[in-house]
Amino acid sequence: MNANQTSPEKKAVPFAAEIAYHETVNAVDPSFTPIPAFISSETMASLSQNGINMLFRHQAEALIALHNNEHIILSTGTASGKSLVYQIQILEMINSSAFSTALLMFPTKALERDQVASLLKFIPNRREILGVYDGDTPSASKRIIRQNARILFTNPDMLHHGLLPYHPSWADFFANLKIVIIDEAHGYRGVFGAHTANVIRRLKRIVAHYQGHTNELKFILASATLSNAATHAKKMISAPVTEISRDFSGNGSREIYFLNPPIVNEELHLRAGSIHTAARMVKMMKDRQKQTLLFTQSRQSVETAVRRLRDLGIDVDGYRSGYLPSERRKIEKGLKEGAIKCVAATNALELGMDIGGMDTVISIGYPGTIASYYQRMGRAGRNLRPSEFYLVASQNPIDQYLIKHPEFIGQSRSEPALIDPDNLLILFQHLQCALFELPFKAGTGYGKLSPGATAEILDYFCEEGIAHRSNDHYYWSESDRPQREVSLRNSSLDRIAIYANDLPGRRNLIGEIDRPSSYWMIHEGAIYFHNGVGYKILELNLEENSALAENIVPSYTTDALKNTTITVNQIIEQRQVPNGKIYIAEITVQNQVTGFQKRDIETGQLLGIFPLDLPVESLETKAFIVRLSETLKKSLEEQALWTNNENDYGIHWEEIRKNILSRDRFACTVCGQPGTLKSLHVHHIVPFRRFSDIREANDEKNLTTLCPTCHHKVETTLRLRSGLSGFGHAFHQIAALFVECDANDIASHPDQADPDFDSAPVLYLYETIQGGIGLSQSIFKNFESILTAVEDLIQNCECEDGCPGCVGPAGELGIGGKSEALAIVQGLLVNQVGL
Amino acid sequence: MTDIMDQLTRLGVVKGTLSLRPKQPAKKTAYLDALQKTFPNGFIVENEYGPVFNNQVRMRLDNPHGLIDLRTSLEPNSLYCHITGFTDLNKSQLLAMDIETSGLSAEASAFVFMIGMGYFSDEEYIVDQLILSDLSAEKAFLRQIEITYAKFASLLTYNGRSFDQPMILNRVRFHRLPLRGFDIPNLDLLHVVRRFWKQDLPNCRLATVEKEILHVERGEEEVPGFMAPELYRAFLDSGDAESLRGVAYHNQIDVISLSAFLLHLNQVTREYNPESENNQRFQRMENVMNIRRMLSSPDPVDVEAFCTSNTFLNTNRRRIAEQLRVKGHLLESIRVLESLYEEGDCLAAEKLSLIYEQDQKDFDRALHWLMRSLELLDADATIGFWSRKGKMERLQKRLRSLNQKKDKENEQRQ
Repeated sequence: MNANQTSPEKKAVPFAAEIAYHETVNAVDPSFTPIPAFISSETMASLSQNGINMLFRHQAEALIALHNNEHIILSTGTASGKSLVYQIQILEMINSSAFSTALLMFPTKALERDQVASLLKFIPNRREILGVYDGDTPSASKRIIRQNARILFTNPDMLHHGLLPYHPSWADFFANLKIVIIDEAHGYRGVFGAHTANVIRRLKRIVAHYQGHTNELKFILASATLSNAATHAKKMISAPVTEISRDFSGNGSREIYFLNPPIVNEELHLRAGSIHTAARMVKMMKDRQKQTLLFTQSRQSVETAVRRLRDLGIDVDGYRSGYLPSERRKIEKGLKEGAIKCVAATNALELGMDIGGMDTVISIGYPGTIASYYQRMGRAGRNLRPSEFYLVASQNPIDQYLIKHPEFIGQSRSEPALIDPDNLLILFQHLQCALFELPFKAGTGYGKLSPGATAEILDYFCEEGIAHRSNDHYYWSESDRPQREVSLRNSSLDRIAIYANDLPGRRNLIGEIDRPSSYWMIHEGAIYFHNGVGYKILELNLEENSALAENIVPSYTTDALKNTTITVNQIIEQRQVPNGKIYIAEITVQNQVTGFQKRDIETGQLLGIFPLDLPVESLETKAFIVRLSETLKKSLEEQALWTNNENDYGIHWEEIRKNILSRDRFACTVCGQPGTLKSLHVHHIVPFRRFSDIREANDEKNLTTLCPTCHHKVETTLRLRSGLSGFGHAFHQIAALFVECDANDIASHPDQADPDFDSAPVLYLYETIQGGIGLSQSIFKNFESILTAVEDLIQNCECEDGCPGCVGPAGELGIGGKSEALAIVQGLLVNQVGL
Repeated sequence: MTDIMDQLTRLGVVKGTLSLRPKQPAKKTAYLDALQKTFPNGFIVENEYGPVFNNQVRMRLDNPHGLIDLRTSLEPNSLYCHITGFTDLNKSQLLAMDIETSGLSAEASAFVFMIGMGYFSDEEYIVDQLILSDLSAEKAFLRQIEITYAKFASLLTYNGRSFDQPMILNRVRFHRLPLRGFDIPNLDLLHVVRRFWKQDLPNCRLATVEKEILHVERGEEEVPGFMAPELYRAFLDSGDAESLRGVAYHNQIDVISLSAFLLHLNQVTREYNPESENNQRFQRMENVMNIRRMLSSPDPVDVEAFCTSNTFLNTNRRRIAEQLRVKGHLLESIRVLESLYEEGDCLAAEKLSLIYEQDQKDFDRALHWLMRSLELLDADATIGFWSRKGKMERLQKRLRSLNQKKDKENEQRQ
């Protein structure tokens, strides 16, 4: 590491932004080794024809482990040649046997197709033995694939719904299955991962049925860097796995910069927009002929970035989910071949698509996880050439925290992938699927279930009439497939197609979108951008899963207004804890897009609000709930550790407000937008809560007039942490760790005064899976242990006033919630006198 | 409550949703006895995998099945052979077969629990009806099917190619049984019915064929086929085979109807008279056979029969023209297409243009016919907007390419 080296970049950057951090990662030479001698000469020849005569050391290590009959997980960086390892293994298999088969599992359809092309390079004349079997496979091809395919590319959903339940039709394939590849294994985390691990268990059962054992079945997992690769892999495939994680592929030198957009309003400490700053950076790269990849956080910001960049005269393409596969292929190819110089993308490009390396990668904001941060960075650097990586911070507190504490990244390890394949409800569901697929012999177990426990559940199935026991075997006897009821993913795969009416009388498919997002992205009247081209949505037809768009040059943008409500339907279990009560409850979370705002595309001025009548997205689930007692709240208030109450600006506020507005001539002091008494806001420059004296807070020097848009921008930088939300943030992370789920499988929702609980302060932690799968029960049961761990985390965190690792970061000027959160934790842990 | 079930109940697994179903303890060892009790004429056969119950039914041939006299013999006629693809007329070598299953598709848990296999012996019609006595007895059941198949030359089924045979093979694969004797020729009557009776029938189900053509009335024991899986489950749950009585009857009648329909088919093909105006069922088939015969004969082809619109559909005439072209009878092919053009057939004109372009390299004539085709398309008032647009684009594209070719040719000449 070589900090503070002066480079041409560093000289140029200050014109666009403040450099908060700079680091030079020196080039590391790759470490090569000959292809192991046990690899057959046929395979060597295919490799050699493709210019491969040496391997990286980790690739050779992986092949040796496989040769020694070990299952492996390759957890090395982007573009470190993970695929080549399993491709060689497949070539070996094809060359040594005329019957053996291999199954390759990818989390997305796009990756399946990418990998087919990649493997085909080695065996150009064997197209007939490669088959892609997924939801897009036409029925007519399915039979042909069943009969011919020896190398099958699929995804876990298809394995679950379309392959395992029909295994007799695939009998020869399973009887000869020797290799299973699980690529992007880090993606199988949380509930989705637990489900997939059970699909693998069922796969192994079927292989054992046809082969008599699974001794010849080898698993090869490939994954982004994970802190628990071997453990994760072991849980995925229910067998020990050798971890190969030392990366010998080397890298070119890399300049890493953390940038803060320049301050545009000194008094309010308002910074320029991150997209705007990034766009200027891209312009700089373009002038220096560098191929640049710009990562943004959302689909909409991809479109915003594309428009900004085109305004600056930069030839740019967008890349995100929702683009047509043909558009995506074209962009990937363009990037790889260097024809396309600049792309703005979401994390859709973090995954393993083969696009080669970039000269420059710019990330707008911290992507949320360390793993994802390194994935993005890994896209920079082609063929060991020097590269640059820029993190452009937004006003988001996490970004601002990183700007102040860049060491956070270096000190943190990649997040572990957490799964619990033995979650009882998941086991219960997959036991039904497994029984449907093959009878159970009495005395055999499933997953973690002992033979006794398995038999109990199977007997229960018999009682319920869905199974039948005969001669020591249990058989499925219902005609319905249980697989139908078991969905691996939380999100539906339902997609809405967007058509443009630009050809009269004909519908032209421009893109697609998942159903839940359609409500807020392509509602009637919405302005939708697709690769920078503006469309107005004329109609959203949810019955036909289609939307009709009209190509326009928009003068305004739209923002959907969303409304979320949580209703407690029934308390299932409750118990007293010190200074509070905890519950498991059945709740309904309702999300509804109720309307949208039109804003001027240039000034962002609000042009009007329009109501919408869209269906309520309802999630019936279970929640774990903590309710703080009145005593605890009062005690915190007395110690000034409770900052959740609404501000009371005092009885003279209306008068003071009028004075300030007229002083500022009824115009926003930032953008100059004129307004009225009603439309304009009066803002406290130093937050109201910081003052103990109301008169000081309301001093005219501390007050300024802002329009709602600018006020929103300013407040984001100030976002105050409350103790309850800080506590919620830490508790959420630790609970996920304890019950081994992904943080996204649960959501936290603090409510300062919940009407369902007599206006007491309440923290909800609800499962985002329809119906819930027992995570709430688990948290309820382990509440004290989780709480102790949370206390430990907050107390031992070295940050001053909150960071992403504990209670979440405090706003730049705001007051932190660390001590408040800790007080809540301690209050709930011990029944102290005085609390 | 036991521990694991207690935990599951806490997680919301609802017990007793289906508890209204009567639960009689199954008499597990007694399934075979139960079958024997309900079907006293049945008997147990043994093979290397175990015992199988065969509910054998024999009926005298002088009892007609509906309108069909089961004593009727199969007699040779070319139409019959052509339609069925079978030349073997030995009645006793055909095995009519129909299965009852627990589910409809190739799912792992769907199995065959009953198979009726009917055949003619000297004096009788016999149905060997195997019934799966228990889920663990499936291997013996499948092996017994194979043993029965081995005695016959071919199968007679209704949708057997897509359903019955794949279903059985699926189970054989499921159990990894080393059985290879299932692959015998299969005459699937569904295809015959679809081809020649579709217009006369409300649908092509076997029950409909039976009622409308064979005039069979089923007895009171009959239960509809879709109830069979439920009734078999009832048998497994209760250990009482009475629930299978109706299913067994249904399956037997299906099998007999198959054999009877084949006799009927032989009869009508034998009596078919191409001269008679009343019988149009096989006319097109007869025509197709004539075409094939004509095209395969070395003699000069007389195409005049294809040049009038009375006998053949326009699609068939175009197809004939294409056949003639492939065989090298180019002039005859052109003659047929011209006759079609005169009747206003746009596609024929396009085809002619193609022949002149590709086979004759006569671009002028090719252009001529392409223009005729465009005219006809333009004049056609019945064609839909989008098809017209599509066709127009195609023709215009050809027009451009033809013009280019012509120009190129002219250049070369100069």
